Amino acid sequence: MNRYLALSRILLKSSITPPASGRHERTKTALLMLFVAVSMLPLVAALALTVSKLYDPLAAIGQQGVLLGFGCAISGLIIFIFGIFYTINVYYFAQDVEFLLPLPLKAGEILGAKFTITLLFEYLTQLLILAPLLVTFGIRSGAGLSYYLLAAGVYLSLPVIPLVLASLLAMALMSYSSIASHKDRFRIWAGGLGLIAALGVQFAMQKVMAGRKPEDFVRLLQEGKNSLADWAVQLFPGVRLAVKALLQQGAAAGWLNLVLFLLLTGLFILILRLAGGALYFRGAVGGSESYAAHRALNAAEMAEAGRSGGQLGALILKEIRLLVRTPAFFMNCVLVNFIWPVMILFVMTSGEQEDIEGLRRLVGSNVSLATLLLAGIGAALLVAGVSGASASGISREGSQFFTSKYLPAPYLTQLKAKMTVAFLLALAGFALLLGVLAVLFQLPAAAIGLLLLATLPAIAFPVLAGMLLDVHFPKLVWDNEYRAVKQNMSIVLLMVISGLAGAACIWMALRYSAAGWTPAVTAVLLLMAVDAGLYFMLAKKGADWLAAISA
Amino acid sequence: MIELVQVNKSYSGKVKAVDDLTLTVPAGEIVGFLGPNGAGKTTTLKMLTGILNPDSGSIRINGLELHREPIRVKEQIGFVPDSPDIFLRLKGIEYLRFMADLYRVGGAERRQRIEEYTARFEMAEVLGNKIQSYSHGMRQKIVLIGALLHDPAVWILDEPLTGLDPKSSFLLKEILRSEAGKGKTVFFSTHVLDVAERLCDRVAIIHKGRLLFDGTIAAMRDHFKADESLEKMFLEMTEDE
Ligand SMILES: Nc1ncnc2c1ncn2[C@@H]1O[C@H](COP(=O)(O)OP(=O)(O)OP(=O)(O)O)[C@@H](O)[C@H]1O
Ligand SMILES: [Mg+2]
Repeated sequence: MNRYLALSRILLKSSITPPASGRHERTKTALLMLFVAVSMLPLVAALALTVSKLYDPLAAIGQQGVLLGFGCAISGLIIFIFGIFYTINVYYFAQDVEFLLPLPLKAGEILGAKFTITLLFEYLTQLLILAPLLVTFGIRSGAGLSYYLLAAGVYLSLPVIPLVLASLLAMALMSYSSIASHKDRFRIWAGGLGLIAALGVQFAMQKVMAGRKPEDFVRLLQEGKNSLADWAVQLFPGVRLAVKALLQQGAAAGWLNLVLFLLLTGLFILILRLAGGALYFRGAVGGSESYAAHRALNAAEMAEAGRSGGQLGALILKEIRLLVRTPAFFMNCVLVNFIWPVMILFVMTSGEQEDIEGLRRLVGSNVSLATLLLAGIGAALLVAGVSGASASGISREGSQFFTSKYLPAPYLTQLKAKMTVAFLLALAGFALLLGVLAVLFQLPAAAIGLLLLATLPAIAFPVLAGMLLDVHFPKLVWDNEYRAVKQNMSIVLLMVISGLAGAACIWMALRYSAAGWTPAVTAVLLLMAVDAGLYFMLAKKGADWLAAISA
Repeated sequence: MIELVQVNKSYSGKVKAVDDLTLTVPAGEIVGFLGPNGAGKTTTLKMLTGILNPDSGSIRINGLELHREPIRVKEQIGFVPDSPDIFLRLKGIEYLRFMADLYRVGGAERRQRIEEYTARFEMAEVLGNKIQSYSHGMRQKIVLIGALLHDPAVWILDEPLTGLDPKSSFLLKEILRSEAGKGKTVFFSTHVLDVAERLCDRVAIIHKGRLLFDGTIAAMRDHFKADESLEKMFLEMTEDE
């Protein structure tokens, strides 16, 4: 137990952003964190407002509990889906695994400590959804102290079960990786598999929802007494108990339900301990092995090696190779560009046929090309903004950042190589998305061509802005590639900025659909101007900024 | 030729890693850079290669000011860092191509040097594998070969001998000697004192960021007025304080 605690403490210390050198750096980081936190506030506020708005109508029919039911279920689902990736990375890919294995630690101790750290980060994630929900609900229902105590208990225990389930899935997947000879390739594959599993869950849920007849909802609604909440919580084991605990605040039954929920949670932890003891080492041992049948080059390959290329080309090629071959980078910088077309296909094929037909008619007839263009620009901002390829360009270098200082390529050339790769990835993803939409909605080729052309500045914007952010706030100290691309504030910040801009465009497209070409053209020109400004800044000062980053 | 004039460097404004260092490494000679752990060797070499900026002082390589013309200076340097764990996910051959492209090595030389050096260091067999699958010594060798491709005028190596097997380290010493013979500048840090004693024309000894000695080993013997080994003299010199 002591070793478990000691290990957890060490892991926590090393996973919190390491203290930047210099005070200047530290204030910069603190300011950035503050900014990220503030930029999350609108999201939290919007959620709280929605909950507050929905409360009265639902309470009128005795169904306010559905808010808690859905909220807890969704929160659990998010933790489960992200947990799959997160646990694979923390349990297996983290570089500390190599140092921990030779220490006299039991599998359960390592696993326990790593689980604890992951759980702590999940509490942070929950601040975004669960916290505003619980608090708003408490205020609206005029709950007393006991509600808030129960809510705190639920807040702390709710993520445990989804995380245990994600851990079990991760361990099952990874214990097979020890027999795979191409580890990196397997892991990239496992990442894709995880993604597909996550999409599958979504798909299945949609089917479940679709299976419910509207009459069921009406019946449940009429029954009152929060029966709808009962139904929502079926999505996740134990959530029902948690919600019951919250709804029966005043009574002893509330506490009884919480105790039951805690017991269930304890049971899951026990299962994780048992399974972990058997499975963890199987996947973790040999984690850094690489496929190594010695292979000399043949004459053709040797001749190929003799052909010379330019610096920019060499840097671009290196960037692409590292992106594609590093599992964490592949998932977060390459794959994300291409999930949208897949998602759209999923949604369109799983939805009701009539709805799709309706949507098709809507897009086909009523929507003007100008509106479509503006919406497309918004979509491009959203899609390209989610990719971390540019905003992690410097961060990804990590401990080998020093190489970019002694290699004889101008700093600006190095930045250009990174931006080119990020731009091409985003462009390819968006083009694929357009292709899918073109087929689904039978859009004319000319419209697609114009759309692609007009969205170029929108795709370039997140690339330029991301680079600018990462040059200023590079996260170079990480023990785990995953951290360079996931716990990276440049990426989060870019997502927020680009997302807001994209949402604004789409909102305008919907709101002013009759305004003709002016909004769309304005958006294109505005983005072009901003891009030009950003590029000018990078060209002029980028090299100096890069030079100022200490290796 | 490498010239350091009154170079200072401290980390986060506190630890003084290099203290008023003035040192000249002439062309055509092998100069060993010695000092206990934490003496400031790596810090100095990093400043020479542009990885770290000195707080003050000037650095010139073959007459060119480093901070004025960084690219032209970097093109002349062949650098072997102390950690060879870089670009692990590239294959050996991909890394060499990358280095050749960046240092603009073209034409017949390119292929000929890749073939020659990989054969001499016995790395041809594994060129198609990822560097990640290499042993520590193999990683060092691939980094070394990458630094050799452009036939650098100035060699800067941070502990190049640790980890190499006897044959490779013999080979490296041969190469260093012949390069210096051709008028190249060779500056490397090491902890292996008997190698330094036999290989180097001169040694520079640094301790707590300050230069303690700079000259030939014969001159050092004169200084100590005894026919002692470099190891003894080194220990004596870095003992006090
Ligand atoms: N990144 C860093 N941040 C803060 N201090 C550092 C850093 N790198 C080195 N130092 C400090 O600078 C001093 C010199 O370190 P340096 O790495 O130059 O020593 P060295 O002579 O190369 O030692 P070794 O023989 O162990 O390689 C030491 O006191 C060290 O603690
Ligand atoms: Mg050193």
